[in-house]
This record gives sequence, C-alpha cells and structure tokens, in this order.
Amino acid sequence: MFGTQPHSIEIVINADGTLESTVGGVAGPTCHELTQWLEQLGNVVEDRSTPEFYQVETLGNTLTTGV
Amino acid sequence: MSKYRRIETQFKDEAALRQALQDAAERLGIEFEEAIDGANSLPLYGVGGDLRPEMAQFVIRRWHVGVAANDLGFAGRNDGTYELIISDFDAPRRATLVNTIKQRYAYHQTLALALSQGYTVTEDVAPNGAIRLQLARAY
Repeated sequence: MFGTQPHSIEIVINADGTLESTVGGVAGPTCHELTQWLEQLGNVVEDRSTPEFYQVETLGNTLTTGV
Repeated sequence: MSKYRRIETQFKDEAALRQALQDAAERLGIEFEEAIDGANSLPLYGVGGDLRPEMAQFVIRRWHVGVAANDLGFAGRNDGTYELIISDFDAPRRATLVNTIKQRYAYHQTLALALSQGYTVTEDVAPNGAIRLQLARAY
C-alpha cells in the first residue's frame, strides 16, 4: 500500500537538466505512486517498468501484481 | 530497481528559478536582473542595442550571455510556467549557460519537493557533471 514501505529513489539530474529516476525496494504498482510527485517537475518523456515491477507484491494477506 | 522515468524539466517555480539563476551567476561569473514588481516588466535588447518586442521577469544581459549575443530572459506565463526567451542565433551557442540554469533549477526544485515528501536526501556529483540524489524514507 502507498506510503507504508521503506524504499529509496535515485534521481540523476543530468548536465542538460533532464532527470532520471529509479525506485528501489518496492515491487509492483506502488512504485509508480511513489514517484508521481516527480511529475510536478516537468514532462515525463520515458516511463518504463523494470522486471522487479512485475514481481508479486506481498502486503499482509493481500497479493497484488504489477501488471 | 523497479521503475524508471525520465523527465524533461519545465520552469514552473519562481523561487527555484531565482536560485538557479543565482547559482549560474556565481558559477559562470555573470549577473542577472529581476523585475522589482515581479512581472514581465524588463525590456529585452538585441545585439545592437535594439529594443525587442519581448518582456521578461528575469533577464541576463547580452554582455553576460556571450560575444555578439542578445539578451536572454525568463517570462512568466498565464499557465504558471516560465518561458525561456532566447534568440534563434543564441540558442545553439549558449548551451553551457542554459544547461547550467536548467540543471540548477531541477536540483533546487527536486530537493524542495523531496524534503516536503519526508525524504532524507544525500547527494554527490558524477565526473560528467550529473547530480545524483539518493532519497530514502522509512514509510
């Protein structure tokens, strides 16, 4: 669930001012929610999920997938 | 890692833009002007001192922009963004200046948003000049 898991985000601000972000420690759709605030910075020109995104996220008795 | 996003920065935040211009001025040894009324009330001039039709809130005068340059400005728009006003002649020639402003803007705006989201932030700079921010939160 959003806002309940320890996680980290790496943001690289390139010399031309573009940003790249990657989320660690979270699988599934939660990681999308965790970086939604980054959309305030500008236009998202690339948005893709890495294999971890599609791993099953275990939250108590609830299982969700990132598909 | 589970999610990758790439974002092109838009100038939206006045305070972050001001900080970015201050950083660029300090790093590049230049100066900028800001309209005292907070509006687009500063005129822009061309390379020969000719008055241009555009007005801006923040201006870097041409002698700070480069040799044979025109004034560069940032003008606030009704949609809350700031438009970079740069001549077609200068655009391909002033990448160092423009990119410095863009990167410093992105840095200040990202840092402010990250802290407001409750993250602790550590940072370092790569040899290629990229700034890496590590954000961590325990919830």
